[in-house]
Amino acid sequence: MQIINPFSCVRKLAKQDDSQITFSASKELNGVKLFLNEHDLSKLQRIYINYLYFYYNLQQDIQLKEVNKKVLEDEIYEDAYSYYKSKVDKSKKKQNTGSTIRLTSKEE
Amino acid sequence: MDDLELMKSQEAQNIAKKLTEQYQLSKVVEMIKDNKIYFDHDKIKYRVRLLNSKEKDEYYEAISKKHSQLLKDENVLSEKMIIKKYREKGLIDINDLDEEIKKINANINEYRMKLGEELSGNANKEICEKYKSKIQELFVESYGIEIRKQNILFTSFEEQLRNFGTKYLAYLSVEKENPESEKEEYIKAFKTLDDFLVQEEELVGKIILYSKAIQSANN
Repeated sequence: MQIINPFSCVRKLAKQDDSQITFSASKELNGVKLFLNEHDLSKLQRIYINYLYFYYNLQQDIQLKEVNKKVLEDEIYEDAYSYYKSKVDKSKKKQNTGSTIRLTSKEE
Repeated sequence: MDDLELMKSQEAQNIAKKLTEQYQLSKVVEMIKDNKIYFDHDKIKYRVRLLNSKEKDEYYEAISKKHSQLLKDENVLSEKMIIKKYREKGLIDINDLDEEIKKINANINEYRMKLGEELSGNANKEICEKYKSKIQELFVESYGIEIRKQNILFTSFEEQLRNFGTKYLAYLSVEKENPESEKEEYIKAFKTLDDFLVQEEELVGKIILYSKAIQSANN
């Protein structure tokens, strides 16, 4: 019998429509819970939550047409886009902070 | 094999792959629904769970004992000492391997940026596949160097302590169903660490893997 490696499967599980629907419902409805335990999350449960957010954000970006839906065809695509987006967001944030500082110094 | 047979065989392989994936996912659903993992092995029911406060104390005590024991052993060298010895003897310089890994990772990130940008724009299939292949090649290269490094450092003080900690944690986390109890009750699966380690390799491997899936630095 083959040993199932939960670490490699949990990502695929979080990507599934059913998991995403339960996740969205759990954020909006009090009665919907992701797990039987309410605290003392296991490491695997934490990883699962991270991936739920990861795919939730990816779906949002697809809907906003920030990324092509082809991104979901491969995990390497997903990771690459996520990395690219974090770098772009960081650089935008830096630019915004920079302009605020310049604005303040102009007013002075 | 003619084309039709080949197609049928590929289709059968795809179905088998999907079924295996579905089976594995259903098992993982069971593993994440609670902070415990239940499984059967040779008709015995086991469960792996988080350590309680008393067990955590036992774990840290065992680690501290092993730490002192390794420190006293003159044959056990630290990672730094092994790296120095290898360099002095003109063998591999492990710091160079680290530098190589850093360079490869930087290269992976460059291709990730290009691929991410492409996916945000035209998402041309050929271009995306080209970047993906590059990333895969670099991953293999980086993994090869990591393995070389691990093979050199596996006897180090740090690695031996880590290895012991992983096994001890697994031994403390596992319980088995009490066959004498009428209700569902779980008791300590193995009396000592040695009792645990002499079990079948598959069982030990499974318990170690599940224990790693349950425990984290915070719990």
